[in-house]
Amino acid sequence: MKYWRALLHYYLSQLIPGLALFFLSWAFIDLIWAMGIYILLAHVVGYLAFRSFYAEQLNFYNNLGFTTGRLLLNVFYINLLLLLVLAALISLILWVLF
Amino acid sequence: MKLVGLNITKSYGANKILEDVSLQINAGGIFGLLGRNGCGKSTLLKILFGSLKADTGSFYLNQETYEPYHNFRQQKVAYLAQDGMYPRQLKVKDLIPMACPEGAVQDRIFYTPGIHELTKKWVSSLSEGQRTYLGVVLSCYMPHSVLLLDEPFSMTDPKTIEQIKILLEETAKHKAVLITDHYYHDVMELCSEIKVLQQGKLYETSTEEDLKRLGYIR
Repeated sequence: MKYWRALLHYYLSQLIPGLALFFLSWAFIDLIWAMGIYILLAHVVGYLAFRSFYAEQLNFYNNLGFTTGRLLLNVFYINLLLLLVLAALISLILWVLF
Repeated sequence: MKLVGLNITKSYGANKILEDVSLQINAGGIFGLLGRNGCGKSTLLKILFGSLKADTGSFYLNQETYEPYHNFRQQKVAYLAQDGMYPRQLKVKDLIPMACPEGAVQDRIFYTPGIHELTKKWVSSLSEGQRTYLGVVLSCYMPHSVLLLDEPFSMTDPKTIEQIKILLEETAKHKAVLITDHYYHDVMELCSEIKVLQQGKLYETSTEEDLKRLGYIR
């Protein structure tokens, strides 16, 4: 991935709304549902928030070859990977404890 | 390197922004686009870049059909927006490798006059003119073969304008470059072909008299 720095920056820029969604879902529903909602919606919520606050920066990402679809897909994959790692860690901890 | 747009039209409701506009941007010279505020210059650039869809129009890049929306992936046409489009919460020295990952290209950018002094600064702390200059430099060193620069002289001082001109002249030797700006003296000095966009149509121009006749200046 040639432009991994730019992708990482985009990921971090759009992270907070997705995390807010995750914690709200956890608070009002439960952790498993929150993880599911995060996987399905966080990349979309993050993109919409990014477009609202930093719309002009999308030209920069477009110049680097990132279409809207590619930004969404990349963030989805990163979220999926991180949640799989997190779920594995939680499972391991539970297995060790009980 | 040649980008051609034919019969481009764009309307917002009943408001016709572009009416049957055709243009050709060639490497080896710089295409200057002038026009009053709100006449549709940025709209035309966004259409050529692919971030805005034209109502009608056909596009060719080096005689092959070019679909602007697919440009992003192919990195054929770069666009420098007039509003700062670079992330502001970064230092310039971190932005450069983000935009141009190749080490050799980064070296050339760092050694471009005026850039070294900016590297330790945050993008947000740069003046408008410094941000414009940084944007032009980054655009010139990106891999795209066509550059669309929206107001590349905006808010820059005379010395920086001279530096931008040198950079653009050098870049235009191997890339097709289109610039639009209100500093028409500089545009006229730099560009090999100049057109004025007025009421949705493009008019050929080469002298200040033409600009007066077209109502761009008094």
